[in-house]
Amino acid sequence: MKKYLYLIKLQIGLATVYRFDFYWRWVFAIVQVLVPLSIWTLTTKGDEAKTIHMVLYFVLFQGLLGNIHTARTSYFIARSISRGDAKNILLKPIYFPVVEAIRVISVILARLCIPFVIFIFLTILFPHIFAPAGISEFLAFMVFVILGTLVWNLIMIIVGILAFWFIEIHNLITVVDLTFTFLKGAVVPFFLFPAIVKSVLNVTPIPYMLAFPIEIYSGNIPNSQLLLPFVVLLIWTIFLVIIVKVLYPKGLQKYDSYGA
Amino acid sequence: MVPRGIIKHIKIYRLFVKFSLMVFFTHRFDFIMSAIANLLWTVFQLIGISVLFTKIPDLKGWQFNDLILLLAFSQIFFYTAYIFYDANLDRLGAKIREGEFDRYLLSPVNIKFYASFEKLSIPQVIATIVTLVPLFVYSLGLRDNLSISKLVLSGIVLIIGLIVLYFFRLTLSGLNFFFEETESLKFTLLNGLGEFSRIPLDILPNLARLLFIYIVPFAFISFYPTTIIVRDTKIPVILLTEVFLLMFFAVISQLVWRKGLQTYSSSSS
Repeated sequence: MKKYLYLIKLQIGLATVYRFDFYWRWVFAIVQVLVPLSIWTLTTKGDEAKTIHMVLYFVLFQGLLGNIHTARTSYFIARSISRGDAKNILLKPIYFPVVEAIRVISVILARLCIPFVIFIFLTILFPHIFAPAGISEFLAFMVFVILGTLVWNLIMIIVGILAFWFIEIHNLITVVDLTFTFLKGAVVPFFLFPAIVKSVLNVTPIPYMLAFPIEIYSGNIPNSQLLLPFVVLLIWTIFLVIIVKVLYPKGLQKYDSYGA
Repeated sequence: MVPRGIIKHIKIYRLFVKFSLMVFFTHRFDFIMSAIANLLWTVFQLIGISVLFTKIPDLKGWQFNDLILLLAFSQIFFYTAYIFYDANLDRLGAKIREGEFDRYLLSPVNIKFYASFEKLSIPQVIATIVTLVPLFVYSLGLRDNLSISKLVLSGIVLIIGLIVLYFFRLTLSGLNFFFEETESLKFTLLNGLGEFSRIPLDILPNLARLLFIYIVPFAFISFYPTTIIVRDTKIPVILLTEVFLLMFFAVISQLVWRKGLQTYSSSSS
């Protein structure tokens, strides 16, 4: 465990090496929020509650949480495998997919510091829009965000591991990422999906990764309705861990590396 | 009589294309996925616009097929940028830091040309055609007031706009000589603000409109080419502004690169 914590510390240090880049990134988070907001708030004109809901949805989704759900874990794993760099990690007593996931997540969390501080300011200035519905809602929100991030990274690890068989899978990762991003509710807010689509997606972990935690945060999901989604997400987590445990050794058997 | 320098660079570009084709034929699976990714992205955007129009009757006078046309025009910029120069300029910062940039300086080729057009993204060419043709056919096919002159003028505005944005991109890339990592700046100004190219500027505040006309000129690759077709627009004003911006960004990019190369020190041995 210590080696992974050390890796996290190293990666966060690396993220701040290029200060210009590090401090500038929060502007991108703001732009990501403004684009969908400028369109979708046109659908809520005259209804203050719906407008607030829409603003909170995109601020949390595009400004903060959506950035944690990146496909870079997959890209890094696939790139290491296809370039032969994976051998450098495979020779060490650390788990290759976890190392690549840590490399990505630590940097993103470091970069999210400034957007997070901005969000805190917004919560203080406009609590009726940005504050959570309650303490229990906030805690439930955090549980689902953490579990959802774990599920997302497990999916990305599984896709990245496919590079053991297909070598060049950059665009395959893009296809998977695009599909999940759309189904999570990045282009069309998840609460605007047709009921039949929502019922189908509710058996998958997709809505519980981002859209569902945001609804908890807003107070739109009573605490009594959290158990089933939590169980669904937990089952998916266990299932995906098993997939990684089965697939990864098979991929290693196929792996050829070059060089000294 | 074509200047010899231009002929030389055309021949060099043919070699770049040949090499890119060789790389393309070794990664056919990736090409198929690239086409699927482009198609999927477009389908998702179309679904988004469709859902939007179930909630509102129009977007401040813009109809459904107007937004499809706007989407198609904005995608021309992103696709052509990626095909010809975006991937190359994205790697420029890393090449400068890792010492690979020196070989550009040692070659008897214009440095900006070499750095911009070294590799062509062949898979993107086919994916672009597959995605854009249906969008244009759909959005233009049902129009009553479409004329050849409008299409030609729209095309001219678009092409000049693409060149303006290339020089803008070149200026941003030149900043890699001064700041070691400018990836986030490029992402914010081009990828981030570029999302607004799919939105009619009419719905944005005046300050935002000025931003997209004079600072980050996305208006000329999507909004103005679309408005020329769908409504009456002051074309001479648009063209004059474009030509001015073209000269402005061409000069700025030249200055940034010249200063950057003067201050550049190699990191290789």
